[in-house]
Amino acid sequence: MRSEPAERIDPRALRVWIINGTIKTIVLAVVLGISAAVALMVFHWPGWVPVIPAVIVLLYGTLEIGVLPELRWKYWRYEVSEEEVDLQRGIWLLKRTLLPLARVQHVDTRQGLIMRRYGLASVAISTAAGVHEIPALSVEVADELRDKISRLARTYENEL
Amino acid sequence: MSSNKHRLHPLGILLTAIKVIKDLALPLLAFMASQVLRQALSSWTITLAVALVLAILVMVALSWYRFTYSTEEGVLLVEHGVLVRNKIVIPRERIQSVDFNQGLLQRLFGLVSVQVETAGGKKPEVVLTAVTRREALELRQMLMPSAVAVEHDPQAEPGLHKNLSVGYLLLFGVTSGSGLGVVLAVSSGLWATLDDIGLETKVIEYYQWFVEHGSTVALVAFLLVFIWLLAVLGMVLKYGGFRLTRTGDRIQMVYGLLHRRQVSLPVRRIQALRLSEGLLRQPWGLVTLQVESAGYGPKSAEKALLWPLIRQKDLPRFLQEFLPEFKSEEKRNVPNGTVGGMSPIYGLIGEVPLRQLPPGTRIRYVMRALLPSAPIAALLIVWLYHIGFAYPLLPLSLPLVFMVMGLWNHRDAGWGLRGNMLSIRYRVFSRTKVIVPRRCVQSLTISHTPFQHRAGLATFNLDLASEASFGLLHISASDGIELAGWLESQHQTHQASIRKHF
Repeated sequence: MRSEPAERIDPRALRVWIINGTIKTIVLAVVLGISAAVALMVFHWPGWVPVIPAVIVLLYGTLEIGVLPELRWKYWRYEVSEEEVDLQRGIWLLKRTLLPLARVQHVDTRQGLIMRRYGLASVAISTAAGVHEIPALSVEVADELRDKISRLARTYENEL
Repeated sequence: MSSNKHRLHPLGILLTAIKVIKDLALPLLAFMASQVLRQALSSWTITLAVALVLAILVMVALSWYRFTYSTEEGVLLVEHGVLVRNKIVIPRERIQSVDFNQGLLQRLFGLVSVQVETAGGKKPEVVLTAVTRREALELRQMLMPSAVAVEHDPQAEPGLHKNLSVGYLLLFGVTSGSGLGVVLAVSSGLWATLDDIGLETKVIEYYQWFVEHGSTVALVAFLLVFIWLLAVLGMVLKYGGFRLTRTGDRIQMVYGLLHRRQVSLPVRRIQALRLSEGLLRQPWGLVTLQVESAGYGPKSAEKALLWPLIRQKDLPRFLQEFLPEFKSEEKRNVPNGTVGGMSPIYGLIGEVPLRQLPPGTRIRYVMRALLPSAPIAALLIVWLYHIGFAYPLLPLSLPLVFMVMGLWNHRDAGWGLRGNMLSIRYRVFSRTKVIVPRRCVQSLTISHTPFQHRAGLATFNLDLASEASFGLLHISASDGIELAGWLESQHQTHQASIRKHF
């Protein structure tokens, strides 16, 4: 069996994902809360109905904050060799993607608001068929990786 | 410079106006009809309509006046726009193809519409809607001196070409799914109407009704056949006179009896070759060939019909002639001459031996097809019991059909490697084989669920620049590793060539 890709993503990714999960959960709670209130007060639905959205919010929050970030981090791995980018990710469906460097068109680093706070950036690798993203690396590692990929990809430029 | 500027043929005004009015016709007619019905068709509505048509004509004439094109020093320069004036400059080197299209009206007046496509950007970059044939040919000569393939003029043609015979054209129409699809759609519509009239109670009643209304049934059958014939006629009109040409490193397809279309592309832009056998075609050994092509831009991908219909046994020779690039590089070690009565060509082209899926996977395919349909069937059965239908177990056929489909999908699934070529065969309805050169694989993903992992299975998927994605469910995990190795192995040779370079 091919060995797993060597590098893990930055552990601070966990915090970012947990914050993202919290925000999503709060948004969901607000939306469902308002609809439940409307259902109760305007349409006079029975009093037990709000239990359903409450359970949904609770489940969603547990998954998005407590369970998934940890697992996602555990399985995310990557490696960049001379010839290709090797990505592994997924929780239930474990995916392993090989991107030949000869097909890479361009690479950029991206930073969201929360990621910037934690000094993280993601690396987006574009091929003619789409974009693959390595989600959360420290800014230094991300910059270095971006330059490395683009340098290696350039050696293949004449191929197409 | 300005003396070299050309306008489109004046009839272009008419053509564009007709197109604009045609696009507006339906809402306009609906509006008029509603006015007539409400008996409110006063003189001012008519004036308004006439004014609208006049305004369109004036606008179109103005934009015709402003639209000029010229070729100067190997550059195509187009200026257009009434309020905002635009200038498009395309250097000759960036032009990928110059294709001619002819609608019915354009054919009547001997005009063509010229489409200029570049590598990248939106597609097509420039359309010259009405140009005389002579001018169009000159334009192409100027812009694409390397690829002057001339349609309609077989004598002047240096390349290889092949015309679709009338017999195959008819066969193509008759066996096409679209005719059958139309009939199915219409007949299911009829069925629903019968339901609405209230005839759904008992099958016996249906039967009696059929007996009593024999003539009606005949009429309906006749109508269905008629619609089907129309669909066939549609296919014949669309693809009639199909002509494939190969000139140097370009291929060109020209087709259409009324509206003559032309598609041309450089062979190196072909990302994959698709051989599909429709349900009605497979039993007769008939194959349809399509190519996936890609531009540089993200939205410029397309699938083009390479050849409508060919017999399986003629395929190797056809590919040898028109797309020898798609034979694998690793030639089989066959001594010269024929071996075992087989032409040596057979061993070389397209015929990558396929590996079937591992033996334990059949049940997975069947269950996968079966599981979603089972609850639906169960619900239907309960409902039919509820309304007291005579044969409430009828929906049991649904999972059966899905099961057979699952078995089929499993039986026909396969893949194979030879040299630089990967073949994947799968069935959705028609059986399709895709041949992909290694250099066109943009990325390869191999994935597995815990269930697959335990059984030593994996799923693979590869993405092409044509935005297509091909793959198979449940190959063995070791085959997945082999595939990854195949994708990587090109680099050894590449690295070697780089080292030689420096």
